[in-house]
Amino acid sequence: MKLSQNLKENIKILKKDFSCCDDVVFREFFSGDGEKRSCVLIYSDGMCDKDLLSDRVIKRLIPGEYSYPENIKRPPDEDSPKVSMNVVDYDIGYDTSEVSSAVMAGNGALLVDGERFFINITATKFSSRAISEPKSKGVIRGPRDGFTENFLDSTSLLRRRLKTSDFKMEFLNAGNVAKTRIAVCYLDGEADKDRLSLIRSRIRNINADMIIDSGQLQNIITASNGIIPDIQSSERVDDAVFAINEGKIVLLVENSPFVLIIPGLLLSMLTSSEDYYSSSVKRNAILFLRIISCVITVLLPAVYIGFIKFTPDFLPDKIILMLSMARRNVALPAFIEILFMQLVFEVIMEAAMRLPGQIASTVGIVGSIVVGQAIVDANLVNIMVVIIVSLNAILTFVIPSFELSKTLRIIRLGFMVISAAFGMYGVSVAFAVMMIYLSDMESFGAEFLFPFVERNVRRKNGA
Amino acid sequence: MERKITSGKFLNMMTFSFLALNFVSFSSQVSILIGTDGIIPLLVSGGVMYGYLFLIIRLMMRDDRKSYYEVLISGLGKFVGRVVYFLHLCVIVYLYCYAIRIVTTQVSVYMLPGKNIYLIQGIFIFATVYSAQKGLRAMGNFCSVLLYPVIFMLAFLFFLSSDNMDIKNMLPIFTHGGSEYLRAIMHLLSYNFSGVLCVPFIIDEVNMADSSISKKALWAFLSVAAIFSAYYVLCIGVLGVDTCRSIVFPAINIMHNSSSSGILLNRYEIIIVFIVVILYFLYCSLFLYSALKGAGRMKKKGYLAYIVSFTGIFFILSLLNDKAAGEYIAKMLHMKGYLGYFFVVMIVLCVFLLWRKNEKKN
Repeated sequence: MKLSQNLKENIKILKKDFSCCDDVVFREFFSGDGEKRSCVLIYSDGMCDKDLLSDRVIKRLIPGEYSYPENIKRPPDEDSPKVSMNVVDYDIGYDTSEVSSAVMAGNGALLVDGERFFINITATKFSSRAISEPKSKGVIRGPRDGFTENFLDSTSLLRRRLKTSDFKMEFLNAGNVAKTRIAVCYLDGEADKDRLSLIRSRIRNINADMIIDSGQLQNIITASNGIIPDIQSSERVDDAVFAINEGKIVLLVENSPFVLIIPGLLLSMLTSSEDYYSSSVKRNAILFLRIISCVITVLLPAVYIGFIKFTPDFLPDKIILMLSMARRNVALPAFIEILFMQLVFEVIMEAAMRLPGQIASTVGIVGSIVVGQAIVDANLVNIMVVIIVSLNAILTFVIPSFELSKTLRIIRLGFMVISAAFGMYGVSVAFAVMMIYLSDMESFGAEFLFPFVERNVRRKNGA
Repeated sequence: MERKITSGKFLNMMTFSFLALNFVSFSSQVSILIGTDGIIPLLVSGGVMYGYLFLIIRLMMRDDRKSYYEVLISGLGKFVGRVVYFLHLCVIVYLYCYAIRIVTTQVSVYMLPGKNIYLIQGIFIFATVYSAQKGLRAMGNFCSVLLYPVIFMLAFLFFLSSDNMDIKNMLPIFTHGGSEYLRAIMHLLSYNFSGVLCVPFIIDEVNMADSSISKKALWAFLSVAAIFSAYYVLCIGVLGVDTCRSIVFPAINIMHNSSSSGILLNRYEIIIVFIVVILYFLYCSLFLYSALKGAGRMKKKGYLAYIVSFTGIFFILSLLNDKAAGEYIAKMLHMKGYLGYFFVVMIVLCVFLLWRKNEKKN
């Protein structure tokens, strides 16, 4: 609804809109020394900088004279305006819904009697977490700052590192109710235009009430089946900057410390930002280690089951002897044995993640050492299984991307089931099928396995 | 999006498919036919394969937008073109069924002794159908990722198994006559280099604008020839000709009995069987994809039904024979000459079609 010239009428409509919103404040006052004009400043308590509104707006307007902002055409018969308000960033709106949006965004909305517009004063300020070191991805060498829930803090972290006008940040809104801001960040001339259009259209077509976190946005705009991620996420600023520099597109979501990096390729999920600070030889060696870790973590339990169940004679004699000694009192079949132990470890990991730091480490120690030893002593599993599962758990954490490591844990379970049914044959066929699936996979038009595979078309792959 | 794959991916696929069929058994079969002289027919048949590939590429490049079916119809007429096309499709289907049978036999012997072979075949068929449904791009990427690890593993296995190799076992050389050479060449063309037979059906999905395709094909041929030659020398060198002739899978046998056993695994032939499964998987997927695509090109529904029924007949035939691997392969060897001759006929046909096109132009 359009604003009317009658301030009282406007206040009545807006108070109805904001009914039962006790945090929304209507501060009414008179402006001017001579002819006083009634004004109202509407803001949401706790969302905006009250000092700014008080010092730069109200205190200056009350004794002075209300004047039109410079970008409003005032009627020709009026005297020349005097700009009393002293704020850097303001805008003009004409609609009651715009007033609501402005107030809910943490801005101040100034309405003056006799005017059909309101002044949207940018005064957003709310308490937020300070910029700190990302907990999800630690590095030994490299910057320590990570994104925070504060949208503008996060955008400024990127801008500080990319001081060029080629670095673009487009703000879009998503969520029918929450209207969450999403910044589409890219380097002009480097990012693929088709991919940009695709991302924009997917964000614009979001039909959800709210986007609370980037993870939710990821689930909505992804084309993946949900098992293998085709979008990378990171809490680290340098990850995002390197990605942007490589022609990728970064999505920054309001109230989320995790940014989304598109396209999410396998190689980039295996790469840590710290690798960029090492020499190419060291970087490649570490990358090779991570690839090997991926393969081992997926295949090791399945290979163990396959060998034990179907072809134990393939193993060296000493290992067979050791295994038969270890397994002689174990009643469970190899598959159940390893599945049980895997389940115990997954539960311990999940519990440790949800608990506060000190308790988590206690649970980890108790879980892994005490429970593990008790399980072995009770002859539920043999010691070899404990070694395999523990090794797997450690290998999983070698992979920098948490999403990829979760994916590998699921795939590992699939391989274990197949191996229990068809041994090493099942493992090799399943491996081939998985590779075909990955080979076919694309992330927003880019080959998921790039640069291990060539590009089919001559266009920027974002990697 | 552009659906054509790069020539690099295409040739990686070819290398993969050449390494698949009979990789672990060819040295036995070749030594039966020609003793220690196997490398010469290997190189000759590889050269013939390269020639066929080169001719097909030239032929299809002339008619960039036409499929193989349309090229045959326009070059040979409707009836003869369809007959040739249909026979070619039958060969593709036959090789698909044959490859499935061979790989599952190897699996049932070495990986899953005692498991129902029909179940093993069923899983493999399911996996290849999935792969074929994903298309050539996925297969090309698959080969690009796995080709070098596979070659590395083959080289690693070669060095691990070559400790007992006696190069004197390769002597004497040039002991056979022309007919034996011809038979060996025909055999190698029939199986080891049979992967090239699916090229006409898929070449229209390859980016032909890449001028280096012939050079890359030559590289693929040379790398395959080097691997085959190395494994042939390994088998004869370690086992000797007479023993090699009497064993069905000499490469596996060598790894089974190698003195390096126990260092890595007690019987590390499982590694080569694992690799063979991956190689066969791609071979079968590629042939199934070619057969399905080829059948789809024939617009009349009847032809598709023929292909499906032929696939069924071949498959049932392959299932009926559940004897031991050695007997089965010995039986299949009777077919070797026919496929080799078919290969030669196809080369002649390509030359004829190219000649006709040149005539028309002039």
